[in-house]
Amino acid sequence: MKCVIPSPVSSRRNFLRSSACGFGSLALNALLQHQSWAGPAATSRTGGPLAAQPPHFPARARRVIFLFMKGGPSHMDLFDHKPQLVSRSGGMLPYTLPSTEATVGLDATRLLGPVSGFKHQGQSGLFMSDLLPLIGRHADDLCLLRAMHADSPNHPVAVRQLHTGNLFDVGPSMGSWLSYGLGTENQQLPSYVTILPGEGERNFSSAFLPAIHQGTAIQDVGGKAGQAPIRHLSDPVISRDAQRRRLDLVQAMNRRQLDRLQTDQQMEGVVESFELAFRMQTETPRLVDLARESQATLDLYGIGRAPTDQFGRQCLLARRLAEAGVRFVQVTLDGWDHHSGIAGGLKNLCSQCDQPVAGLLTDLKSRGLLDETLVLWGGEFGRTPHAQNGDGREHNQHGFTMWMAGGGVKGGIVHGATDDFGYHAVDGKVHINDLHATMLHLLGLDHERLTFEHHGRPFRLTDVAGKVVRDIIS
Amino acid sequence: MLVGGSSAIVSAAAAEKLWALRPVSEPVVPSVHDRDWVYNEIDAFLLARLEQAGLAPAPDADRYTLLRRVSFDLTGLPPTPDEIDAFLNDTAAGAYERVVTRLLDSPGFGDHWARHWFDLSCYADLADIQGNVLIRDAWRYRDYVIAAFNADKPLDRFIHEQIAGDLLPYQSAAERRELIIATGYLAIGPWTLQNYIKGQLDADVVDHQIDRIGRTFLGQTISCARCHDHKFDPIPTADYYALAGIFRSTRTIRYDGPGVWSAISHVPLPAVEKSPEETAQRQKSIDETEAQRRILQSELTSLLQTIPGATTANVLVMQQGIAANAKDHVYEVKFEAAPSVWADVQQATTAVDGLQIDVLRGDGTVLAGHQHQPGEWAGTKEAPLMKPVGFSYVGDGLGDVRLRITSSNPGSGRFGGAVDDLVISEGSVRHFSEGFDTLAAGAAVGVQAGTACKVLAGASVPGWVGAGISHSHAVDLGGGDYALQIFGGDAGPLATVQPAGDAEKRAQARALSLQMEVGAAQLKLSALEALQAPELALAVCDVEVPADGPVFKRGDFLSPGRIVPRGFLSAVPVTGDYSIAPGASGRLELARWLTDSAHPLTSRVLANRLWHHIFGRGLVRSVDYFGVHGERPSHPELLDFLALRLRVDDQWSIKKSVRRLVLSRAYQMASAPDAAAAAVDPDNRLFWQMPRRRLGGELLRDAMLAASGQLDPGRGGPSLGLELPDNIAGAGGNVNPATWGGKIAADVANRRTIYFPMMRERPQGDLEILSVFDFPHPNEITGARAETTVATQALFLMNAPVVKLQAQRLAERLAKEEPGDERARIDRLFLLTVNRPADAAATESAIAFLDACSQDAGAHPEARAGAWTELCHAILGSNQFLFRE
Repeated sequence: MKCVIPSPVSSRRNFLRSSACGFGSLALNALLQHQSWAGPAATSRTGGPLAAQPPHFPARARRVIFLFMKGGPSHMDLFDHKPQLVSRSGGMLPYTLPSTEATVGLDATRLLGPVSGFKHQGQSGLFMSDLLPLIGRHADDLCLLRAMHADSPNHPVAVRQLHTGNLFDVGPSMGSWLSYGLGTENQQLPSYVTILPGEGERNFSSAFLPAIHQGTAIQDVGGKAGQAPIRHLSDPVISRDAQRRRLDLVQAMNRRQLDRLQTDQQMEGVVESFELAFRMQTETPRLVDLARESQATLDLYGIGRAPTDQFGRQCLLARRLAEAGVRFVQVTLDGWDHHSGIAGGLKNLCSQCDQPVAGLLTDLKSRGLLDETLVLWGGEFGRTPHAQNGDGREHNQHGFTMWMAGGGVKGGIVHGATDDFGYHAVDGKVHINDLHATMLHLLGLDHERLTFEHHGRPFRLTDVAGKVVRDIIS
Repeated sequence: MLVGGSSAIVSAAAAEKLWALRPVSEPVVPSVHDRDWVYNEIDAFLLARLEQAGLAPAPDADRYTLLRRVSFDLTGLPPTPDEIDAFLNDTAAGAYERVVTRLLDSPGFGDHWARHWFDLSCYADLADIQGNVLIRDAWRYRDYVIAAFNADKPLDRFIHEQIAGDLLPYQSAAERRELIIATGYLAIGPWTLQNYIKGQLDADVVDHQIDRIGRTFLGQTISCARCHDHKFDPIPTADYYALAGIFRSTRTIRYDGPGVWSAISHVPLPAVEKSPEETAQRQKSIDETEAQRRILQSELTSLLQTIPGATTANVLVMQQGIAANAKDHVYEVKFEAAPSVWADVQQATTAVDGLQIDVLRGDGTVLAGHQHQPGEWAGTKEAPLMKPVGFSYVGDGLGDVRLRITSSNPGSGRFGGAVDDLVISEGSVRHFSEGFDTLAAGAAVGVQAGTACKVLAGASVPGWVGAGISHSHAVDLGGGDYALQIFGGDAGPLATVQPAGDAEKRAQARALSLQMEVGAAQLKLSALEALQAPELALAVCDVEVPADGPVFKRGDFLSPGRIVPRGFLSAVPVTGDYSIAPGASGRLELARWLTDSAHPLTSRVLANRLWHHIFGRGLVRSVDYFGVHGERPSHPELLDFLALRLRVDDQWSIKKSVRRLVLSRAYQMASAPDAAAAAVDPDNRLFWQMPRRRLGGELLRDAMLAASGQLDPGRGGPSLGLELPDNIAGAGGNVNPATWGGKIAADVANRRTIYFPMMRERPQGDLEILSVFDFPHPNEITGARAETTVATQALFLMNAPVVKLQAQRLAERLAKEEPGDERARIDRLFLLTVNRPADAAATESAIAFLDACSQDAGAHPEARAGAWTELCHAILGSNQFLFRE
């Protein structure tokens, strides 16, 4: 796909007109992100910049839910059991550490056996950790990618690579690319939503893609924090009527000016953005209000009890957004960076993660959504087979596990393998670029054709690399 | 590796094709029909094209519009009512020229144009890609740039100083300081200081420097050639590594270990004489602080003598019942210092995040707990953040309790791994977690008399000097009472658990707080003394043995290939000889090469940048990219004309070039609709009207402060508040950013945005407006900002407290300055915000609005004032305020 050079005026107006009809009863509006450009780079599309676009070829999945496990979960403790690591735990390293890396806490380090037990799960018998028993029940839907690898052992760089494919430069996030490539199925919603992302907004950036493809951050899911789901969503002081009165004055001034100018699409855009913002103030809270869900559903996700409440809310909101047609939903769970005390730390994180994720898979399946929704679980890298600080593990980008479910991938399979200790990916290797290529492929996009002109050359999510992992496609 | 002969041929062919590499040539100024319209040559170039297209330029802008436009474009500030008045009443010839002169001479020029420069040079007061290491000396470079623009330092000299100032000759210590500080241009950047693959980090820093210089001065994406020959432009990989050799021969960051952190290179500045007043003032502060410390110490010493068990030692011992859980007794858990203490800030990772402190029963259930806000609690050994926090709990008598300290966000800081459970239990205090039983080197302190046992609660990380809570111990006070002390470094007890209530306990509490005050005074002294240490600048220097470097195959630093001699872009024709002297890095030669008299790129790219900032878009709209796939200039002859004026006639003077631009007739056109012109040239590439622009985030903030009368004219100097203990630099000159909020110097809070510390993550608080309104990310090179319109901006203007506050201040100012007639007050409101008086319709709707608001609020005496705040708030969200025509 080539970048389409501007002539945004008429299509943008039509879009505004059509979406204006849908205001009121519908939730968060696409115009949350709607923009007009003074410069070049707007897109011309029938039905607006977020109109659903046909894929390059028939798609297997229509949307993605990315469960981002920030910090780097330990693969050999969760999904990649290594008998050698059990038998040689506490023993000397059978490999040398890379001389190019400054090491911390690795003096006289020893191998560290898995800190959890493993069980065969499901008909397929996937061998998985006891710490994720409920996810284990979905083993027959999971496709374990055991030979993931990435290029940086640093959190910020690796997180950026996972999100954007880029190590060095700022690039659009994968959600932005999907939004750009496919638009969204619901014009009343942003195409890319990220739920409680924490810091690091640049990982949800549209970068050089039009700003409408930027991830919209939901910063509260109705938990204890009680803040607005989107920043500055309400006036802290005055009533809605008084606010409307003020807005009417602003808009009257703006209209007088626009009458004088006859037309100015950038200024018209501002006028429209105020109206949208005003409506969003009531519509957005409704969207994120989980009180409309049944108690059974809340229980399914572990909402209302520790330690699953918050992540459960995030996962349930992800289902609601996916169901409503959002193209890419990201849910972040931070805390997997276990440099020490990994036995306790991992147990803690898994107890937050297990039920909500299992609940999400169950819920998607029962609603018939799992087949068309690609669920992706994983962190920016894995961890080392050797101990750090005695009972923790250091970062390891050379080999780790992510998994997929639904969305046209085979369930109950393992793809790829690391070495005997889980240090390096050896067979069926899947680089981050390959992961991105595969994800785009499942959504019907050729990663080599999904490009955008910037600084004089076409950019893509996979840069100059990426191979679709065809073996995992059902 | 594709550096062989074939690619050289490809490059030569590409160079042949690229318009920007052709020599800059003096164009013929075209003749036009409507000669009266032409003020200077710029107008002739533009008008000739318009006439060719059958179009006419827009009429002249009115004086209000013109003054608002030129004031924002030259200084980033709106005109004041007095300035508007003066211009409107200056009917003599040359009134506009006088305004331009005034604006060019005002310090606001440097404040504004420095910001343009920082959009290209990745300036921030934080290092590291995550933006989590404050760098206290960055401001010196910021002030250097502002001063350079104000002094109209010639651009070629400006380039030489920033790339190779340390290598230039100098006459005085003051000049030497300036030249060193100038190289902050290369030293400051989004370096991944925590990257523990140091070879990769070095290669990335070099890459960024090449990319920055390539785009800023040359409009070329040289970085593309890091891994392969450039696909479109004439830049072979060998050129990239020729430049890389220069920067690899330059020290930008250093890694001394242990730990993973590198630091930005600092260079001591030669001393300049301090004024006697300044020296005296500083000594006075030191003396006063020392006196205060003595008083506190003396009170503490006396108090300690009255507390049983507390010896004369200057270490406070707090008493506690061991069980700390008698039924219905109130216990107080206090934490007085940072639990995460590093000997060196470079070992610190991110700000320690929120902490969860729980009092646990024997069965692990929580008896009481407290969660700290993120960043409430962190610091370094030099600068622990002494923020006493704590909570009370009521014992339930159900057996021993233990104290658990965990990070509420274990993934975000080293603390998560550094502190395990602490236990208070019957008869002893013991380490609850297995595995970390070695204390870090240098962490020991003298054991107190009566020590019962030692508690280890910190993860000892080899190579780190102290981590987490370094040590603690209990003191047997006799009679079944024990005291627990937990130390974080040697800055004093970190935590105490004590029964609260009786007189003796109160004395203990007082003693404890005294001890903290003594500590704080001590810290302040250290801070003041630190200010007397040699001043440092973030600056680069040559490495000891500059050398040519290898090509990295596919960009991989682990795959070095053949060595390439240091040099510059081979496709660029220049006249001078810039061979690199033995023993030199080549930076000076690079700087001179950039400003060679035949260099076709530098003057074109920079002249286009000036045009972009004045006319709102470049003659080449892809301002950072003049390559094969960039945009062609809309007016190539005009671009060459301007490039030659800049380099030759104006001798690289920015002010002279800018003056020429704003004195053109074209600049003084209205932003007026013209359906016929819009049909022929919808993008206004021929400049048939003045492009309208939405103000950027910093301009909006500054304009709001200016309107409300809050804008502080103060300029220059550190903005981090170096006298605050939080901001004392560690060994590397870096500062732990821990709790960023509130640590700017108080006198900076209402200054122009340029004087705020610039963050690398999303700006919050007072500066949130920047991220909402398209302020460029400081890690990126952004010659042309986006002007987006999204609903989140409307939400911000409607609801953000900072906007409300300025509206209120503005209303207060108006009430004071125009207390009488409300119509006059409305006029003043318009003059202050949109810089023209209100027209009749606007005045009437404003009055109606005020009436409606105050009627709504009833007879309340504040009603009218509230209505005025609402009116001001409305204006601050109007298009007239948000745009400049």
